[in-house]
Amino acid sequence: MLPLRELQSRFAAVAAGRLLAEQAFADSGCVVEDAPGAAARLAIHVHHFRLTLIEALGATFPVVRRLVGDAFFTAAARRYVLSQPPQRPCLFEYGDGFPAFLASLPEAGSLGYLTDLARLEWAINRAHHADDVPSLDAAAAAAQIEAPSCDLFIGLDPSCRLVKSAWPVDQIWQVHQQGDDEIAPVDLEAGGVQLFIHRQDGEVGWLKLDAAAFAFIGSLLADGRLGKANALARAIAPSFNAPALLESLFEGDVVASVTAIN
Amino acid sequence: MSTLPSSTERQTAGIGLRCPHFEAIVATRPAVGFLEIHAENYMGGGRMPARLEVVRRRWPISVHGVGLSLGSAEGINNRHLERLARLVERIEPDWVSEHLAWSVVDGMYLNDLLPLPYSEESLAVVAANIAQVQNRLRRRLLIENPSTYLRFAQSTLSEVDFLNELVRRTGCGLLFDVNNVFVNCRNFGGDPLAWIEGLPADAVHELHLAGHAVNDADGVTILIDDHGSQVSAAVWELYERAVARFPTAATLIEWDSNLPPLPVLVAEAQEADRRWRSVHKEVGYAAAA
Repeated sequence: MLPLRELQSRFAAVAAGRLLAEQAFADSGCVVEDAPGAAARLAIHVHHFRLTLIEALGATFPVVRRLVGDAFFTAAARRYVLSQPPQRPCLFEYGDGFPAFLASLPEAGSLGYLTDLARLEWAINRAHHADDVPSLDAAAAAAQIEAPSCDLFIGLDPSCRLVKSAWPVDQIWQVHQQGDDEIAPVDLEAGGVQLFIHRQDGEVGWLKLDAAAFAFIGSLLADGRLGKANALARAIAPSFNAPALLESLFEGDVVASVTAIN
Repeated sequence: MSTLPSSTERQTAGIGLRCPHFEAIVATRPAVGFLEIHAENYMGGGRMPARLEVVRRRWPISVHGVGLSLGSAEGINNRHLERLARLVERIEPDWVSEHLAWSVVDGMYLNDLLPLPYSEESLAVVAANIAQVQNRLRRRLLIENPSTYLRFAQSTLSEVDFLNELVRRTGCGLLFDVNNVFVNCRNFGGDPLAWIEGLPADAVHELHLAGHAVNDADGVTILIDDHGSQVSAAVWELYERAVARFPTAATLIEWDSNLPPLPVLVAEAQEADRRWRSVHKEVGYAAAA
C-alpha cells in the first residue's frame, strides 16, 4: 500500500509527464482496473491539468497567442506547463516564467519582439491583480515633504511595472486589440519604447517614458530613495525635471507613501 | 415542529458568479437567493475584489474554495490559508466551502480536484487539515463530495462513511453535490438514493447542481462533471429526493465552461425553486409552515 504522500507525488509526476501512468500506479495495483483501465482514468486528470493551464496562459497572454497562432501557442504552453507547473492555486499569478521560456525556444527567434510583448502582457496582468493599498494621505505626505530631512522615501503603488523594448511593443499590443480584419500594420523600424505600466481606478494603462524618467522610476521601484533616483536620472539627462514627473505620479495615484528619511 | 422548515427558512436558489456575467447581474438584478464565488479569483487586488464589493451589498455571498487542498498529506499551505482568511474576514460570507480532494504536492499545484483513497490515513490527514482551517477561520467549513473517475484499491471506507466520520471528528458541515453523486454512481455503480440516506441530514447546508458531459473512453461511457450544460433530467429527479431529506439546505447552480447568457442560469435557479416547492407541497411541509 502506498503512503498518501507517495501516492500524491506519483500522481504529480504523471501529470507533469515525468512518469507513465502504468509505471506509477497500475503495476502497484493502487488504482482499481475498472474498464477502460487505470491509465485511461488517470489520463482524464492529466488532460484536465494540462488543458486548463494552457487555457489560463492563453488568457494571460492573448496577444502572444494571436501572434504565434493557436497551434504553436498550445505546443509551447504545454511544454511550459510541464516544465514549470504552478506553485500556487491563484491562476492569475501563473506565468511569470513564460516570457523567458518563449525566449528560449529556437522558433521564437524569428519574431524578435515576441518575448518583449510577452513581458508587456505579464506586466499588464500583474498590474490588474496587484494588491490594493490605501490611497495616499495627501496632508500627511505634504507634512513629510515639508519636514526637514536628508531625503524622501517614495513608495509606489504595487501595480507599477516597467517594460523596456527595442521594438514598438505598445503599438503591436494596441493593434491586436482589434479583430483579425482590422489589424493595422506596425512599423517595426519605429524604434523601441520604455513603458511605465500601472493601474488607476481599476484600469491598467501606461506612459511612454524617456531614458531618464525610466531610470528614475526604476530606481524608485527598487530602492525608494528620491535622492538616488534623481541622481541616476540626471546622470542620463542633466535637464531631468524630477518635480514635474513626481507631480504626474501624484496625479496618477501612483504614489502610495512618502516618508522623510533623517 | 421545529425540524420542519418554514417558508421563510427556505433559501431561494443561488448561482455561481462568473466574470462575463458581472455587468448583466448588476444591471438586471436577477431574483436569485445568493451568489457563490471561487475564492482563488478574489485573492488579488483591482477589479475583481471591487466587483465583489458591489454585489455583496445586494446578495448574500458564499465563498467556495478550489485550492486549499484539504487532502494534501503535506498539510495546508499557510500562506494560502491566510489569503482565504483575509477574504472571508472582508466578505463575511454566509458559508465557506471546500472539496474532499487534493491538488498540491511537492510545491506543485495541479489545478484539479484530485481523488483520495478513502483510508484511515486519508481520514486522519483530511480531518487534521479541516480542523486547522476551521480554527484559523473561526467558523464551520462545508465539505463537498467530489466527482471521481478512478477508485483506489487501498480504500477501506465508502465515501459516505468517510464524510460521516469527517463530520463526527471535526464538526464540519457538508455541501452535497447532487451531480457529483450521480456522475460517480454512473461511473462506478452504486445507488445515489442510498447516498442521500446515508448522510447526516443536519450537517448538509448547501446543495450543488450542474450539468455533466458524457464521454467515451475506449468504448466505455464515462460521465465528466464539466459544469458546461443544463442540469440533466436524471439529476433533477435526484435533486427532488435530496431536497426532501435536506429541506433547509441552500441550492446553487454551477456553470463554468461553455458559459450561457445570464438568463439561462437564472432560469435553472428558478427551476430548482419550482422543484423545491413541489416536493414540499407533496410532503406537506408548506402546510406545516
